[in-house]
Amino acid sequence: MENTILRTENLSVYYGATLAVENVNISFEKNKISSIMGPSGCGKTTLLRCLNRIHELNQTVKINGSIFLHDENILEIDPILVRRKVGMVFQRPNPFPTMNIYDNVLAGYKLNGIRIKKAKADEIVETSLVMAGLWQEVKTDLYKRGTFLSGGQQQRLCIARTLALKPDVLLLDEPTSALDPIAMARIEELLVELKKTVTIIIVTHNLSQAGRISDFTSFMFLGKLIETGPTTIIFTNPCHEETEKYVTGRLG
Amino acid sequence: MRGRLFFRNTRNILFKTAIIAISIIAVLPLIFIIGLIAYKGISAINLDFFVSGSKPTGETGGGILNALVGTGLLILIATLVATPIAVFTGMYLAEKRASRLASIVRWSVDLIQGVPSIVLGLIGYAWFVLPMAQLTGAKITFSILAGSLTLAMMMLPIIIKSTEETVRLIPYSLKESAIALGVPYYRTVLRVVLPASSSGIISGILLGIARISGETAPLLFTVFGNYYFNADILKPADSLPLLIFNYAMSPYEDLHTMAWGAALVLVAFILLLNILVRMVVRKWKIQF
Amino acid sequence: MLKNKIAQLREILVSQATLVEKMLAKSIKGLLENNKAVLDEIISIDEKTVNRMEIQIDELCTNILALYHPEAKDLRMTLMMSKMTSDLERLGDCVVNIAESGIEILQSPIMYSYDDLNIMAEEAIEMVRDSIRAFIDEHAQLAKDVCRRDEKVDGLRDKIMRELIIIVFDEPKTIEKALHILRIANNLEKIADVSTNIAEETVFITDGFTIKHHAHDALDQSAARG
Repeated sequence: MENTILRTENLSVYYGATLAVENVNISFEKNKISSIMGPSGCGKTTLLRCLNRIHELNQTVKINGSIFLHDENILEIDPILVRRKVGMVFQRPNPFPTMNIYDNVLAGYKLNGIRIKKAKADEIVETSLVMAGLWQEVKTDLYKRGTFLSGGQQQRLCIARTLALKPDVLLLDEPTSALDPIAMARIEELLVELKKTVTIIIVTHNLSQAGRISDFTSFMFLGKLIETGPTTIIFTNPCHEETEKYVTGRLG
Repeated sequence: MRGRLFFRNTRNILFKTAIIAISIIAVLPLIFIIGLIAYKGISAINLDFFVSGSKPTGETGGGILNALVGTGLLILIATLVATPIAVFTGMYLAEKRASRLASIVRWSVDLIQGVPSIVLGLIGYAWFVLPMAQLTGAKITFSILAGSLTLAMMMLPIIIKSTEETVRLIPYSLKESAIALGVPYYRTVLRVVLPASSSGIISGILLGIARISGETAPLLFTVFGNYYFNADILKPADSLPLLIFNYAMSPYEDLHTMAWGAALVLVAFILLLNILVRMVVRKWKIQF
Repeated sequence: MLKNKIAQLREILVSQATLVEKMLAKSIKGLLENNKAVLDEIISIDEKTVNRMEIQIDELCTNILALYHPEAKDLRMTLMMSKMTSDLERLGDCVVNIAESGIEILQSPIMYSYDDLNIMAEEAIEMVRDSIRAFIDEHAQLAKDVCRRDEKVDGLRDKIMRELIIIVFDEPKTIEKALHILRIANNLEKIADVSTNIAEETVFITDGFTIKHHAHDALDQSAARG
């Protein structure tokens, strides 16, 4: 892939003595949506969490290999810098409960002690909320706490919060599994729109979602990367038997 | 058939009645205590009571100002000392559940909570009064400071437990979100986790205050008591529990009444704190 | 996303249909005006385009079914468009047959009045046009109407066949030309048939049930149902 923005090289991850991800070489193309799917325990979430080094919160994790963002090995630079370029949105929407919506969006700046002028701050808040498709719904309530928002709106707030830091890559860990189908559809539309600005990598166990929105799909099983390629091929004519079994619902 | 149904219904009603009755019996002592204190102490309550200090022996009148100031200072300093230590310990325990150090700390906290207050008073004497006396050539012996530090020790377990429980309830994903924004760990704790646990921490502090405001035994060996007004923390002072003890033991009738009055003030204060805790929790508690 | 994909699919299908319509008109025109060049064009260029479009549409339909799991009308639309593209490809083949036979009879003297053939051709072109129009406009009534007109074309083909048999009987030397004329007639009849298929598929999209392989009473039943 010529347009690779992020790739791993011989990446293996251990939880203590257990091997969770085995020798994975995967590349992600810029401004596309790539999804990683597989049955529970296949290592997809572990892999995702390495991409912004948040796996380091767990003391027992050990990593071998390299991860290159724009040809720079992120395992060798300051993790704080990595996380500002590679943002992450989690499964359960979790806006900071003690802050109002305005402060939530700016949390990446405020909590890091980065000072910005009010005019610039207003602009960042509006742009991020517009990009997250939430501006129209909250523009009159910016100074209220986010607790009155619905699940889908809260998740979009979390996306706005991550986008405010203008990351190059956005990681999403099953972002819609806690939401109802309509909220899910809105977020899917949002992601398709967002890929023009940000590269998106999404872990999902929802096959139809992967089919609907991703340009590239990777399939993992028991820690190994089995197959990766354009979504249309993976879903209509995969190369590996395990991929075929998973996609047709016959795995396990 | 109908007979058995009737029997079961009656059993139900009897059981429910029994539960209600026993609950009322459990509450009765509280009602009696408050009632008695109010009855005995209300006659002592007037403005003078709150603003004047003790009168010399033999004279009537006077008030509990010295004791109020003393208790106030004790609570203030104890809270200021105990809170930071307890909050951070509580957070540490909530973060590290399995480590060896955490288990030891948790065990020690339980131990402190179990130590009788008079023993803590002795410890306070040994740690805070004697060394000070030795260092300053007996210039500083009993003091509010020593008393506060001893009371702080008593407050620690309550605030630690309350903080630990509240922080435990905060979902891991909240911390993760902050970290994912590139926020360093210590900032996450200070600016995300702590504010989110504020209701639990404040309740813990208020409950701690409620606990220590009535403690007498530790104060006997550390603050000692003072007839005169004193706001200097390096000197001994009077406090409400000590005043109640002394006046109740004295042979004078009017001092007895003042003791009841002081008891009423103390109990009212503790009651108020408990109500405050409920309000804090209702208003500030963050549900996850 | 799904909406866009179906719209894209529809666009290509409509282009394919329009091309086939034009091919048919061209072939008749070429025959009547004695224009061999036009008939050559149909065979060498137009048919290849139609075939290419069929492959494109097939792939797109497969992708839509695999990736988007369409339901209800979206599903019917996708499935029927997949069928329609093969129908249109077959129409294209029929037109090529007409063009080939047309080239042959152009070269020999006229022996037979082309009036009936003309009427058949006009009827067939109308049916193709209307069936495609019915699909574009989602006009179920027009589609059902197309199905009814098939009989007339069948009748004309039979008439031409009877007349040609008599001519060949009288003059056996004309058999080659007669066979080409018959081939043209047969292909026009096939074109009419396929148009009714397209019309039936349109009714399936709009109404949700099929009217294929039924006699006209099925049409009337569905008309009564509205």
